[in-house]
Amino acid sequence: MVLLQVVVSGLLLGGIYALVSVGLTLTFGVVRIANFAHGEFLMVGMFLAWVLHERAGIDPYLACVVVGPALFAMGFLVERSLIRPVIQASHMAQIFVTVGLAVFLQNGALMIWGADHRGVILPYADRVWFVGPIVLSLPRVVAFAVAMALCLALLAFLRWTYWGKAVRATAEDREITRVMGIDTGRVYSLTFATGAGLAGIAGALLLPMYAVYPTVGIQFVLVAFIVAVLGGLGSAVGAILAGLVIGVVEVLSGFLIAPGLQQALYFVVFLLVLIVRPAGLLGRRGAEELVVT
Amino acid sequence: MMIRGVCRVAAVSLLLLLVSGSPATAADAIRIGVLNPLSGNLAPLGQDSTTGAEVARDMVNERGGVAGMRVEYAKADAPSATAAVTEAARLLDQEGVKIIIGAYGSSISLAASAEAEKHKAIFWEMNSGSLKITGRGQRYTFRTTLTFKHLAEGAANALTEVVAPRLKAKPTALRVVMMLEDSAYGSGMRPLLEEALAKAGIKPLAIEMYNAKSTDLSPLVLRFKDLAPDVVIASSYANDAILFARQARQYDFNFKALIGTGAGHGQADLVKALGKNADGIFTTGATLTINPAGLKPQAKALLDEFNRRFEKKAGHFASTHGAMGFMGAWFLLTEVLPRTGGSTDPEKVRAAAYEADIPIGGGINGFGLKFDPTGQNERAFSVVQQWQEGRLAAVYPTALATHPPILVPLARWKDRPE
Repeated sequence: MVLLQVVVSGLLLGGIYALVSVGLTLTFGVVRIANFAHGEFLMVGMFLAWVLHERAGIDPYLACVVVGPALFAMGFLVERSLIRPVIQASHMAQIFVTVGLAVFLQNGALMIWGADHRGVILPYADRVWFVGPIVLSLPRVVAFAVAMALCLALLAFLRWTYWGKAVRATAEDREITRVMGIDTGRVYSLTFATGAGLAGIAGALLLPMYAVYPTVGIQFVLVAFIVAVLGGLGSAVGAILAGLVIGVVEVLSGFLIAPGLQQALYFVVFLLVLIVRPAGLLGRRGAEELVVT
Repeated sequence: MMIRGVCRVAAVSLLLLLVSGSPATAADAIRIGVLNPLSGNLAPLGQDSTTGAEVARDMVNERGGVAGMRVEYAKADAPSATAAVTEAARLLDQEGVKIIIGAYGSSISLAASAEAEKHKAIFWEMNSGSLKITGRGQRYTFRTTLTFKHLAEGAANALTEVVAPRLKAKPTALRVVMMLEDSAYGSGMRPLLEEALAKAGIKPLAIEMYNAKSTDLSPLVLRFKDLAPDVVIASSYANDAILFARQARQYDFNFKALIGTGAGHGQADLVKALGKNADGIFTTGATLTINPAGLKPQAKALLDEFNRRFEKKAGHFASTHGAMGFMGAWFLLTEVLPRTGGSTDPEKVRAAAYEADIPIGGGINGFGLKFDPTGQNERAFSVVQQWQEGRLAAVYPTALATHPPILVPLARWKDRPE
């Protein structure tokens, strides 16, 4: 029975990982840029939600409605000003730009909010639901549900809207897409901004569980990259699946073997999967190869 | 021709500026490097330690400086061991300081002190308790604060002298589990805690190491819940201490007492995040909240001034680490450097440090100052404290206690307010 609880806890943790990774995998798969500042977008989202809660008493869950669009706008500006000039440049240049942005955002946050751990005390933060003998933490269930909902919304967008189709086409072949008369520049802006917006929403949803401080993004971004690659670049469903796998592996190994090995074992799983399926669980074959023209 | 001339004039004046500029500031000021983690996970306490040291500097400067010279700090941010090495080298090579004070995080301190030794410069540790920092045969490393050994003894005292009598149980009959974060701090605490507990005849049911950066501690909580312990002893940083308490509540893991060994359990972030649920948690370490009856009169006055200034500067009440930063810097600036006439020459500072002799009760947290041959302050000790109404109260040893212990045993989670 404890094992069942452990698996459920792992799934809920996986929901958090999926939530954090969905935006990253989208940017990674379509714009083909490893956005090392993704964790910092998450951090900015958490801080914005925190400010809204402290100054205006707005609930972090409600704050999503503000934080998501705010980060979308920020992502749009960042893409136009920083990413666009290096979109055809070498990977090295792209890495420098996003890592530089990450350092800038971390230190900007340090200047504005300081190094303290800022948390919100919410009456429901420690509330739990009992399903039989299984304990479900409310904020984790919310994060899990939103991750699923965002994934479905993203899939619907990609499948049925014009811009969604344009995004998929760009992910498949950016040159041919351009020849077909699709404004790939706008696709990049849109995708990058959406990725940032999703990070912002994730940040607001994490605030009831975790305190925010300028380097909080680092705590999540490594696992987000693993989830994005494991799931297959650009695959939202893959991100969810990989997030859940990593979450369950982490909590199970922590419980069954030793809490100290919690983070070690999912790397083993990660390596094993990549040996068998280099494109990730649901990635298109060849999607892992970045073609720079 | 004209342009060339202008360039030459500019170059010469720049050179003059450089030559005249730097020695002038060096002559009338004592420069000391302050190296602490000011960003990253360890930043809250690193920041407090720095603020404490700054309060000491301000007070010394307002009282006329050291041997008539102003004290200036060159600050460095060292969030990791790697950064500690490069930043210590920068302070020593480029800023030209001969003394570095800091450095709070154990891994950071180990790296920075090694770098300072290499440069034959003084490393003055004010906050970190890792045993390895002193006692490795270094010549220029000193520590004004207590070590992990004191913390472990404090935790054992909390268990045997405070918790066990109130649970009306023999210490050896208590079910004890230990959780330790797996960097230098937690893994350094482990053998010392085991030893201190073994002295009291206690063998923990389980000892779990975990990563302080974990986003989920439910595996740890569920493993412990299975063992149904009476007491949890923890060496944690802030994030993980908070996460553990929250998840213990969520999974209804009840225990009768939680004893921390400083760090995360001794800082205000715990109360900010847990609110009333922080009350009852024990921690050990140096503290400001000891009974002032145990302090010398001038230390009492100093404590009041420090508290006032720290709160004004930092915006929150002084933490233990803020006080240790203050004490370390204050001892250096008022007891050691005046003996060298303000010189920061490492050999002179070293000799002066060994001359310093302050009895227990002479510092604001009750510490005295007398270095043993390894450079460790032998007049440092640990006090058992408890969070009461959102503040830390000293509860043991009885002579220094300000409040009797409360909430032993802790209420079950379901009987606590949200």
